[in-house]
Amino acid sequence: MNILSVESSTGRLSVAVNQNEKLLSETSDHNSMKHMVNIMGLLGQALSRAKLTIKDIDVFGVNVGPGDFTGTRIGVSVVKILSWLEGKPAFGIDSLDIFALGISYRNISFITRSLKKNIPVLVMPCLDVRKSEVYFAFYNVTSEVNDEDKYLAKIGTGGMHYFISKAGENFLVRNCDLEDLLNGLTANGVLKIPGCGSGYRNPEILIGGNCFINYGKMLSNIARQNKIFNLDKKTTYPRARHLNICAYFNAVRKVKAKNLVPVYVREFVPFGG
Amino acid sequence: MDAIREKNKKDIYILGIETSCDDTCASVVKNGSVILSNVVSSQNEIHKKYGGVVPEIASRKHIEVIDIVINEALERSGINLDKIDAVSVTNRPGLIGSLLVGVGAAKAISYSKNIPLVAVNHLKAHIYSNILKNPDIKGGFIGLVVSGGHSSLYFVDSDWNIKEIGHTVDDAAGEAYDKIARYLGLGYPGGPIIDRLSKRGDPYYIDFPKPMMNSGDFNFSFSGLKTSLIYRTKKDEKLTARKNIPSLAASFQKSIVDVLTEKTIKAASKFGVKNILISGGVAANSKLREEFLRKGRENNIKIFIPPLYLCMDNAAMVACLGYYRYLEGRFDDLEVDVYSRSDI
Ligand SMILES: [Zn+2]
Repeated sequence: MNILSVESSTGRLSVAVNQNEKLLSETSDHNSMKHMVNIMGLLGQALSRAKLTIKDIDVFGVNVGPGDFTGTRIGVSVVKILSWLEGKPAFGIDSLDIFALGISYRNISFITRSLKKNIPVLVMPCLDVRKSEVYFAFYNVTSEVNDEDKYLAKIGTGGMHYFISKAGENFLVRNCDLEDLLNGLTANGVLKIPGCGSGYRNPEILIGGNCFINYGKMLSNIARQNKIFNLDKKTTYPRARHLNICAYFNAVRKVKAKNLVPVYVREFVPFGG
Repeated sequence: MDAIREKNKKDIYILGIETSCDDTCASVVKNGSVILSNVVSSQNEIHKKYGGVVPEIASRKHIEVIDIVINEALERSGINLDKIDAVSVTNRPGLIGSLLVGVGAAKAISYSKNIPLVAVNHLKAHIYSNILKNPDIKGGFIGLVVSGGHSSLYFVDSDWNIKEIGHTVDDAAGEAYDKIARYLGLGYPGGPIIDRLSKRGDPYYIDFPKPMMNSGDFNFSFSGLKTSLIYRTKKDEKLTARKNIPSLAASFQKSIVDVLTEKTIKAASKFGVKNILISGGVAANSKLREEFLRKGRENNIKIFIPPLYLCMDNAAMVACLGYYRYLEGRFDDLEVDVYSRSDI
């Protein structure tokens, strides 16, 4: 199965081509204002480096947000039409899912060490969604899954593999309230996510995502006060290669592709209400 | 242009896409003059309650329906996408969040089907809404584009070089209509409402200023007119009494129509041309049409106005302009960007 994904929701535009879980090529550009100019060139380059054409693609993926409105729309518009014309499904993946994969890949040895000691591991992608608010969710990383249909993706190296599954709903909170909220959710060393069972006892929680760009100090403070939290300061941009993995497992799990539209954190109110 | 047209015996099919403002449009046009389909998905009902186009909502709606609208245009035309010779799309001027939906889609079509891409200027495309219906028009005319977003005058020479000779320095004509309609609590869009009310009113009821009538150039200004109406009605409340609204509307409309017709006719005589092509949403205004036709007769100038459905934003005009660019072999590459401003 050949997969092509476009990541255009931030200043870093990237296009990746995979064969199943294997990355064949990834092209990227860091000029934030030029997505409309660069998107088709990067897409063509990614395909030619993978020695494929658009006709060889079986599944498309695109970041549907939350993210930069303009960039996200460029990616969604292009991928929506390509998917329609090529007659192949396109999966809209949200930023939190893509970050969850990015953080997990980068910290795979930390995850391995923790799971070997039977310590539960959760990744917590956290987005700066402007207006002094952050947006985050928890993802549980496990060696096994009970529910074969529910996991987001399976990642692995050297014979080991891990399932990444979303745990609970997304949180939207003012940045100044984040510390209190996280301390509340992890009271007595147990992470309790609303609507998500009895909780995770003494887990390791890995925070990553683009909130480090503006809220690095605040997050460092949180991790210093509460040892359950660990920081991945490096995974600050979503990447097309991780989108491909999400899209691939959507296809593997036979998820039905929906009409591609960007997702937004807040309802839009004209003229500020 | 006729020579190029002669050489080309094969039928040419152009797919047009237009998303510069609040309408999602797609169309298939054969040989630059036969409209096989013309689909317009209007957002009017949504923007109505805000008294004008809300850019963020417009963009959100475009992306929801863009593939459906293009597909509909292809299906109604009976032409398979594999038979389309080029895709033509508006990339300027307009709302960035709206333009990029259409341009993104057009790039994907060009790439997937390996057909040329033509990116066109929306205002230039409006001028071509007249060429669509009158493909025999020769170069050498004045073009007036009047809509909610634009009021511009163009001189098109015998070689079809298009030069802007004037534009509004503040509000567009249609914008003035919308603002006044909103001020008087008449609804949205203002143009058709004021036009309809004016039919029952006395255009000489109030003598509103005719802004920039004698400015010596071909620019327009409609903001002062709006201010004047607001000022006059605040000073004298009986002007906005229910029975006086039609006459107030008619007087306001007379001022706009007089300026537009006078200055356009002046431009024709200055550039020594005998044809005037009018287009854009405000070209649907019945008083403007009537006055242009009358003054045209008086001055021995032929006036071209497209049918109503081609005055409004549509993709057939975009396909028509794309057709002529196709004949000239003037294509754009996949790096073409979107621009909020015009640059003819
Ligand atoms: Zn227009």
